[in-house]
Amino acid sequence: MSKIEIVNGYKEYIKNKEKIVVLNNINTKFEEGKTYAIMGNSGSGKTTLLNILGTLDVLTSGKMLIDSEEILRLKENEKAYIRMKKIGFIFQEFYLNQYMTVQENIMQPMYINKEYDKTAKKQRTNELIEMMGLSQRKKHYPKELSGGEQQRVAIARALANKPDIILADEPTGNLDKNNEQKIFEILNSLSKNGKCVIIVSHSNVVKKYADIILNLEEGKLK
Amino acid sequence: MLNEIKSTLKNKSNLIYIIIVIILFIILNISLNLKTFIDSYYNYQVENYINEAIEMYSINYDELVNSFKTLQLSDSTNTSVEDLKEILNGKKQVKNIRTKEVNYGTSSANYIYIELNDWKDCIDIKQYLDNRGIDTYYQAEETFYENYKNVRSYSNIIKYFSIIIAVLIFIVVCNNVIKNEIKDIKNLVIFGYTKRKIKSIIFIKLFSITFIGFFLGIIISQLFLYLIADILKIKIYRNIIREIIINLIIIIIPIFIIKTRTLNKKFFK
Ligand SMILES: Nc1ncnc2c1ncn2[C@@H]1O[C@H](COP(=O)(O)OP(=O)(O)OP(=O)(O)O)[C@@H](O)[C@H]1O
Ligand SMILES: [Mg+2]
Repeated sequence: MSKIEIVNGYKEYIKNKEKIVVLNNINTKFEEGKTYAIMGNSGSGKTTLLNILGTLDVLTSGKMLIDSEEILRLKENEKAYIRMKKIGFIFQEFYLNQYMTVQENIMQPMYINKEYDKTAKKQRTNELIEMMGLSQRKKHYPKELSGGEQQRVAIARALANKPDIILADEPTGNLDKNNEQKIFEILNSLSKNGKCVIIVSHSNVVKKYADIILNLEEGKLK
Repeated sequence: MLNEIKSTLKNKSNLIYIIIVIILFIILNISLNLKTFIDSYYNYQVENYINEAIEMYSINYDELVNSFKTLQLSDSTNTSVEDLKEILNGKKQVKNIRTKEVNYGTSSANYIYIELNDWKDCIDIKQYLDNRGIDTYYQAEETFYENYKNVRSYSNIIKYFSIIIAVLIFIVVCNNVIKNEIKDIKNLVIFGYTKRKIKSIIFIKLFSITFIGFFLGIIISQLFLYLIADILKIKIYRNIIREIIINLIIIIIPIFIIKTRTLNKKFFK
């Protein structure tokens, strides 16, 4: 069974009465245990696709299913619940809260997860900090960290509620070659542990770490 | 929640907004108390006038003081004392209604007086009776009351004006605070926080910033007012509870406006 499925996915934007078709009837499936790389020119609609996969945006027409559940029919709160439970996001700009420590940043998504009590939160946070090799950085603020470290904090935060799906939008866009490899390695290892990892990237390095490479061109995924 | 407040307060660019809020609340609370200053000043004038009059004409002190607090029904009004009592029933300012018969040789006239608790009450009660078609006049100098009435209405204008300005400035302040944190709020959407939860977080963030200003504003303006009162040797009758309620309303309105505005933004579409 596929984790995410898009059937006849069509997305357009209308701006100043001009129609921009971003996704033109795409049919695709994403499975657990695999790393997907989505490549394509700037403006080809990669971010749009990722936002739709992450339930932050909706298709103009067509169907999207997560665990066979039709997303278009869900209410805002139900979509929020799916994002909390099943989806972890990573961005180029990290988007860490500058006024929270590493620890607090990682813990932030856990406050709405009823499965975690206070000790479980702490335990999970420590586990993630350990996993990302940030033990020495627990009490630091994002601006005291390097870009690579910040992105690892963001990955730890995305993993906080143990999602099955990881969506990364140019996660290495602001990093050097060394850190880039490291981040891709981490993301790839997550798929080895059974997660569905989808990476949007301009970098050719991603090809080495992806199981499946998709190209978004003129609204079609190839 | 505590983390969210902490992160907002740690943001140094919010410090300026806290300071703005404090200053605004000091000015606001002083302007809310403007009427007490004016009242004190006019009480002082009344006293001066009375003292001078006593020296010049050796009139009875109590009688003179009372004349300031008394309205007299004009002759043309044919309202009976009973009617008047009915009309003024429940008015706390009214102390006494009395009549006085004066004989002019063969004829006599019956005058009706309304005694009030404070000379300032004359203005309101006169207006009140005027609206009901009952004509009265002041026992003491009319220009005195008219002056006071004018100044008081100016102070009211200043009061409402400063309330409106405060609300507008708070809207701008709240808007900027949220602008600073819009990325963090977007993050909450991404983490899967519900709209309700995000609403309460925005509320608590804005409230924590304005509350500090509100709290310090009340205290500092209190000290300030005491200082002025001490220098001018006047008494200030401050209705703290009423002021706190006005201050809270002034905070809450902008918070709700900005909260709703922020949530209506389409973050990703
Ligand atoms: N909210 C919007 N309203 C109108 N048009 C939009 C909106 N968001 C995106 N677009 C348009 O949709 C197209 C795809 O945008 P998108 O951000 O998905 O591209 P991208 O592939 O992620 O580009 P990049 O590699 O530069 O990040 C662009 O032409 C963009 O102008
Ligand atoms: Mg993009």
